[in-house]
Amino acid sequence: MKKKLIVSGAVLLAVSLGAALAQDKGGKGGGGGRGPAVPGMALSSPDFQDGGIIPDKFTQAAGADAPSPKLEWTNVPMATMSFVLIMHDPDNASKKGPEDTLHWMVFNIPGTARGLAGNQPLDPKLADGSIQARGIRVGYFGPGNQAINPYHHYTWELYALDAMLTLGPDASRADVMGAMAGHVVGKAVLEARFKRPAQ
Amino acid sequence: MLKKTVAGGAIFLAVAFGALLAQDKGKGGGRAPAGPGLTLTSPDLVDGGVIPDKFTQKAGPAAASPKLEWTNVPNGVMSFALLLHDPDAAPGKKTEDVTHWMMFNIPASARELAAGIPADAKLADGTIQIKNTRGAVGFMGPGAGPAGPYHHYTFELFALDTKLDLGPDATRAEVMKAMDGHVLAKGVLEGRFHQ
Repeated sequence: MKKKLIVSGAVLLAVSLGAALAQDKGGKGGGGGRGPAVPGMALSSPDFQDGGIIPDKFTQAAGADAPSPKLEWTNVPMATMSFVLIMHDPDNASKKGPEDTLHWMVFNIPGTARGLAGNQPLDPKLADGSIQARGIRVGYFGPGNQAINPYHHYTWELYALDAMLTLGPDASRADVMGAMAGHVVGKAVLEARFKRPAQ
Repeated sequence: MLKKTVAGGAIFLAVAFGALLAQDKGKGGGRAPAGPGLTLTSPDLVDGGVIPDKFTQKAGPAAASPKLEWTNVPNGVMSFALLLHDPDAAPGKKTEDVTHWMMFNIPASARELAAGIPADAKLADGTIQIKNTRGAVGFMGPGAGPAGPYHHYTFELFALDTKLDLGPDATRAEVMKAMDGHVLAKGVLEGRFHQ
């Protein structure tokens, strides 16, 4: 009996150690995590390089209705029920506040999705149930940084959640961030720079 | 008298318009800005490139911070704040990412930070460093695991029209809140890394 208890204790320990490692892989990484065996969730685009320059055709240089780039993601955590995508420009400080400029926000992207096609429509509700909230407007609004400035660092952040959000298209960025708290099981980032070509 | 009022009104309008333009300059959608926005660079890493190992946890837990430089500082700056964070991580299932370094009350006259900033809560020039996510004061080098993908370590420099009335025990959230309404401009530098 005592032996059995010790064995199940050891199994429990092994399982919880595994869970802790798994969490470190997806969640932390940046902290002190040492040598995770599996890569974390990864976000990429066939339309531009991570750390590179965004082609004009996906920016305001091509007009206000420039198409969104195609996005793809891999290494999705098991518990994922939905995704949230936020694209923002950290080089800006709107109204002197610490919050930067929101270019695009989509939530309740189905947990089965592994990408977003290019040129997403500017609708608050997409066919697959995804909801696009209002940033600068509803839907994607391309980078617009002026030629005179240094490059801005447009950042796409993909959150894998263990829940769907009970929010509508009127939700603010703060609402979405608040609703996601405690549900983020994975995160991936894609970042590329842009400024308009000199006139 | 009427003429004078009209002239005064026109001057007021022109000034207000100028102020609008100046504010717009920092933003994305502004038209014909007067000058380039605040620009943050480092001689130690390329914007958008990969951070050299010597500034990361690969060189040990006490790896040196890279040298940082900035230009195009707006008028009216009273202090700077600097945040280095890793947006690729969501510890504890939360939305706040990993804080690698945060300092505030950097003197308004500063145009650079030397490499290898000491891990002290208070620096000689009055700058205050708070604790990073690891619970230590000062710079924590990038440490993303070898399995990848690259993490996007983002240095954000805030130019403020005030000094912050906070001490080294302040949290990142408290610093962000204290900055609200005081951010005149921002400069960003981003480098990627995994072990």
